[in-house]
Amino acid sequence: MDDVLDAILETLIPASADGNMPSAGSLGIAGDVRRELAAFAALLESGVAAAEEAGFDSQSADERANCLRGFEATQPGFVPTVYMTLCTLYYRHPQVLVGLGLPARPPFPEGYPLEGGDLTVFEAVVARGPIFRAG
Amino acid sequence: MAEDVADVVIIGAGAAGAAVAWSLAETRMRIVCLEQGGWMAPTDYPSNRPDWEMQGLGPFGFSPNTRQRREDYPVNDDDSPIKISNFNAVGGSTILYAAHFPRLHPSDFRVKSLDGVADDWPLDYAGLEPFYDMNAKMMGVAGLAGDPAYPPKEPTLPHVPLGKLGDTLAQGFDRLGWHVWPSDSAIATAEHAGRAPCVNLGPCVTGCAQGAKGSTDVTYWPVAVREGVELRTHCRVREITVGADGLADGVVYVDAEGNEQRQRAEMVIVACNGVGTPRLLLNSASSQFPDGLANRSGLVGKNLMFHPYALVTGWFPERLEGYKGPAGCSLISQEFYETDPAREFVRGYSFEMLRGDGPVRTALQGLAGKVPWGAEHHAAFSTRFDKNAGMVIICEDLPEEHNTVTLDPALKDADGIPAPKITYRLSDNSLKMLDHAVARGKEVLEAAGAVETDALSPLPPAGWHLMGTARMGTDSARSVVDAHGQSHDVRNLFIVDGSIFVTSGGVNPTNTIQALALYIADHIKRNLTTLFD
Ligand SMILES: Cc1cc2nc3c(=O)[nH]c(=O)nc-3n(C[C@H](O)[C@H](O)[C@H](O)COP(=O)(O)OP(=O)(O)OC[C@H]3O[C@@H](n4cnc5c(N)ncnc54)[C@H](O)[C@@H]3O)c2cc1C
Ligand code: SF4
Repeated sequence: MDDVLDAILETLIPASADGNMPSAGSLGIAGDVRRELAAFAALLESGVAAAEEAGFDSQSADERANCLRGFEATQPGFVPTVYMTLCTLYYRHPQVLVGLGLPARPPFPEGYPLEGGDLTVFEAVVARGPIFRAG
Repeated sequence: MAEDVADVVIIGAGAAGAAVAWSLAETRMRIVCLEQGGWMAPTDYPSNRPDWEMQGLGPFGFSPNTRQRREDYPVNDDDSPIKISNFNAVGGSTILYAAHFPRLHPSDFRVKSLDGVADDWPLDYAGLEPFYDMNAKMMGVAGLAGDPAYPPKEPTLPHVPLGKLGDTLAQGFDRLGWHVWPSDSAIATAEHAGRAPCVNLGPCVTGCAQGAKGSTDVTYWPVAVREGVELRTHCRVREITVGADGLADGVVYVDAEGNEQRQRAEMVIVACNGVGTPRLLLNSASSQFPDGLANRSGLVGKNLMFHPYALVTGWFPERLEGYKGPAGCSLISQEFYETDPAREFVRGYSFEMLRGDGPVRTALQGLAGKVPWGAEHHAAFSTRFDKNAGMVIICEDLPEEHNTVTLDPALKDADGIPAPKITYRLSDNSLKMLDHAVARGKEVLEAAGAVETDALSPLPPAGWHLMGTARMGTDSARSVVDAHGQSHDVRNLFIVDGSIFVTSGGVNPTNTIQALALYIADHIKRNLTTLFD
C-alpha cells in the first residue's frame, strides 16, 4: 500500500525540473503521512484503495494527476487533506531543506549569522527632526 | 499551629509579577508569589526540533483554548473579533512574546488634554522614565539611540541586526520620506547579565531556546528568587479574601496536587494580566464586595483594550533571508503615530516589521491556491518562499465600557474556577485607522519593491495586549486603582499589570507594564509605614 501512497505523494509534489528538489514519493515518508493522518485513516485508506483500483501504479504522471483531480468528486477531502499534511512533512525533510538552500537542521542551537544592516537610511530620519508631541 | 502570614503575596509570575517581586525583594519582606504555571525548560522549545514550525501551531500556539495545557485557563472569546493570546508559566506571556519593547510616548499620557478623547493618565512620561531605564537594564533592551519619535533614551545593547530583509523595507520608508527606526527589543544582542547572545534563530514567539530573549523567567526571576522571594508554581489562585476590616487578608489557591490551600498576607499584589486580573477580582466577590473585589466603581472588567492589529505582507522578486533573525523585531515606524486632524480618526498607530516565513508555513499559506499540488508546485513555491516580508499594524484602541471581561456562566478551568468571557467590538475609530494603515502599509511595501501585497485586517489572533480592565485614576468613581496601583476600595490591594492602563497607546505594552510595576513597587517601598492609612 505504501507504494501506491508514495506514488500519490509523488504526484502531489513531484521532483523539480532542475532536480534540486526531490519528489515527495522518494523520501520514505509515507509512514509518517499515515501516522499524522491517524485520525483520518478511513479517508486516507479509501483514497489509496481507489487509486490502486484505478491502476495508479501503471499510469503516467499526467494520468495520475487526472486521476487525483477526479477524486474531488469521488473521494472528497482526500487530496486537500493529504496535500496539507504532506507539506508539513516534506518541508522539514533534510533533503528538501538542502534543496531550498537552508541548513538541514532545526534553528537551535546554531542559529544564523545576520548582518547589522545599512544605517545610512536613518540619517534622513534624524535630519527631519523630532516627530513626537510633548506631553 | 499559627497560620503562616506573608508580608506580600503576588499573584502571577509574568512580566509584571516578576518586576514587582524583584523590586520589593530588597525590603527583605517575606514575599510569596503564586503562579498557576511552572518553569519552562528551554530544551522543550520548538526551535530544538525539526517540526518547529508546526509546534507553533499546536502545543506552543498562542490561544489557551487550543493549547489546553493544564496550566491554561479557557477563555470564551466567541463574542470578539479579536481572540485572546497568552501563556501561563513562570515568565507569563513573555515566554511567547516577540520582545518588541517600545515605550509609550509623552502624548500617550495626555490623551484627553491633547485630543479630547478618553482620559489623561494620573502620571506622565517623565514620572515613568526612570523606571523605563531601570527596566531596560534588567530586561536587556537592544536598540539604536537617537530615534526622533521619542525623547532621548539610551538602549543598553546594540540593535537587533536588520539583515537583507530589514534593509529592503527600510529603503521603502526612505523613498516615501517616512519615519522608520531599528526597534527597541528585549533581546540580548550581546551577552547580558548571564544571558547568551541572540543567534538569530527566528521563532522567538514559541520561546527562546537560547535564553537571549528577555522573558522574565531568565531576567527578573532568577535574581528575585536569589534575593529571597518564594515562587510557588502550579498554584492557581481561586479567590482573594477580605477580613472584617475590609482589607485583603490572603488568598485561597489550588496547589499542584489539586488541594485547596490558604495563604494569608498583609498585602496582596495582583499581576494576572488584563484578563486574568478582572477574572480573579470578579471571582473574589463577597458580602462586602458583592460585585467583585475592589469593584465599587463598577469598572472591574470594563474598558478592555486590545490593540487592533492588521497584517500586511509583500512578496518580493528576490530572496530576503527572512527566516533569519528575531521574527518580530527589526524596525518600527511611527510616521502615523500622533493625531493628525486631517485624518478621519484620532490617535494613531505603529508599523512593526516582521521577518519572513519558514518553508512549512509558506507551503501552508499557499494552500488556498497560491501553491498548487502537481507539476506547478515548485515553480509556485519558489515565487513565495523567502520572498515575503511585511509588517503588523498596531492601532491605539480607545477605552469603551462595553468592551468587557466578565465571568462566563458555564465555562470553568481544570480546577472548576469560573473562566472569563470577552465581549468586544471594534470601534469606528479603530476601523478607520486600520483602513488607513493597511493602505499606507501596502504603499510602503510597494515602495520597497514588493510585486504583490496582501492584508489581513483585523488580525484575529492578536488579542495579546490586554489592557484597561482595572484602570488607574484619581476619581474613585471612575477608576479601580489610584495613581500608584493601589485599590481605592481595599487599601492593601495593588494591581500592577496592563489592567491599570488608562489608554493603550499604539505600541506594545510590556515595557510600560513593567515600568509601572517598578514605579508602584518604588511607591510601596518609600511609604511602607503609612501605606494603608
Ligand atoms: C504571542 C505573543 C506575542 C507578544 N509580543 C509582544 C511584544 O512583542 N511586545 C510586548 O510588549 N508585548 C508582547 N506580548 C504581550 C506580553 O506578553 C504581555 O503584555 C505581558 O506578558 C503582560 O504581562 P503581565 O504580567 O500583565 O501578564 P502575563 O505575562 O500574561 O503574566 C500573568 C501570569 O499570571 C498567571 N496567573 C493568571 N491568573 C492566575 C491565578 N488565578 N493564579 C495564579 N496565577 C495566575 C498566569 O499564569 C501568568 O503567568 C505578546 C504576547 C503574546 C501572547
Ligand atoms: S532570534 Fe534570538 S531572541 Fe529570538 S528565539 Fe532566536 S536567539 Fe532567541
